Amino acid sequence: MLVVAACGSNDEAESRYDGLAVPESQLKQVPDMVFSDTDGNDFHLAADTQGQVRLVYQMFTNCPDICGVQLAQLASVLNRPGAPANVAVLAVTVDPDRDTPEVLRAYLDQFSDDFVGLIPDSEQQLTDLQNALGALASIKIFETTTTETHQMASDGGDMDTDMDDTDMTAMDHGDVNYDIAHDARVFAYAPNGYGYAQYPHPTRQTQFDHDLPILAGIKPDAPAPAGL
Amino acid sequence: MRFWCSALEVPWSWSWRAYPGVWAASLAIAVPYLVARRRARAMRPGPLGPSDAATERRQTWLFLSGVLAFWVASDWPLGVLGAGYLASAHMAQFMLYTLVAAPLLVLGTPEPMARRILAKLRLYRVMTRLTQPVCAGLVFNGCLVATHSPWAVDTLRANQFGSFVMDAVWLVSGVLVWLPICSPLTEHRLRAYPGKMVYLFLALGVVPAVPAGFLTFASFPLYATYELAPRFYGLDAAADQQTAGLIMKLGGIPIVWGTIVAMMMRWADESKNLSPLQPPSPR
Repeated sequence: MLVVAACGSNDEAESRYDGLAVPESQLKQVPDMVFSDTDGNDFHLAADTQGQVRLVYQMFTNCPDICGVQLAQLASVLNRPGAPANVAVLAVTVDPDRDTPEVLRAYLDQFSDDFVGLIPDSEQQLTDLQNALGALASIKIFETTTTETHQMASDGGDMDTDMDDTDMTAMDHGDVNYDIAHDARVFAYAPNGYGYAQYPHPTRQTQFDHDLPILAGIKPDAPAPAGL
Repeated sequence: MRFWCSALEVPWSWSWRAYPGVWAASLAIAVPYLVARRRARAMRPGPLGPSDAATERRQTWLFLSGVLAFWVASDWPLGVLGAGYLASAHMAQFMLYTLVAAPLLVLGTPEPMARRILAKLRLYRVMTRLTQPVCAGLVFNGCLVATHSPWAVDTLRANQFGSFVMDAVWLVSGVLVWLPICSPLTEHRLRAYPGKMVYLFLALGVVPAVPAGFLTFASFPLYATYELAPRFYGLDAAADQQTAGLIMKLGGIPIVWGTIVAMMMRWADESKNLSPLQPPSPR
């Protein structure tokens, strides 16, 4: 797994996290970006979630498998008694053409009313988010006789991944069929804004349950090494 | 095309899939049985009496019902759901194999056929040992615990061969656990009804409650296979696992306790017939 290789410079035996621990040299802060939420209001990714663990996940509602599994895992863990309260799940659609606010809200409500649905206002904004996260670019693959590939963002950041960490989905959109391959990692940011861990598919509930209290316990004013 | 049902990484769909291995296995059980029946009939010097003919018909139907239960448990859709999507379907399969298919196959096997099979395979002595109640109970429950461990489920369900092995182990251990109750060979059966009832209660009623409890009350999903599978109509992995535990704990009650009640009634009937207080027959 390239992701493991990329993140593996930390000695895993020493890692506090059951998920993929991000090495200190690759720590990133939660992107300071503004999206539209499912009520049509502006949502500041950093400012509106201050003091919380932010779990940023790229998804789309027509995704039949991995997105639903990851969101169901998060919902199950966060609904458990004793789960940390200061956790925000921020679900950013990679398919803003079809994921209208209503569609996205209805989809997320299947898992939790508390999940925040976010819609990029342009492909450029999605690309910027992916760059800021260090995520793979999402790719639309049109199913035509001559396969046409439309890459929504080109810079995968300094974090690489392989196909295990992407999600390919065939779907029917009117008369256009296309797949979307996207980075299926959950990017976890502690209350101090630093992204210490990531959770590719498959991640067990026990892993989330182990790591979330650690992340939630990091103070908002703690320096970056505090979470390592 | 796939040979046997195993975990798939695609979303569940109701579109039918062919599993020729399941059909072949079902035929491999049913066809030799029917051929042996036919041969036995051809070799008989005269026609059967009415009661023997009724017994033969009953056994044939019981055996074929057992094959049908095996096929239903193994093939699409239950086989696919149990192999890769739902722990509850996996448990329903287990119950069908061990509590329905296995006893029906045993009840449908005539004594001469059982003796011929054991003689041909040179298994008579081994089976005499294995059908000792303690031995049969331990083997069955050992298989039960082993095949429901997270390691076994996640390893075996991931591929067709492993999934086939798991299903085969369930069927064979299911047959074994029923032999002390209803083996076609009288010498392999427990003779006294109280012994049979206690054996049935312990072997099929008590031990399965332990893994069932683990499944029902576990804090987290135990099986990665079902936890990480594409969701089936949005069913939560924990709820699915709890359902599996309940199926294991409660699903066997009608069969185990139904059998115990039937044995009690038969025991009472037989005791009445043997009672010295019974009034003498008119003749």
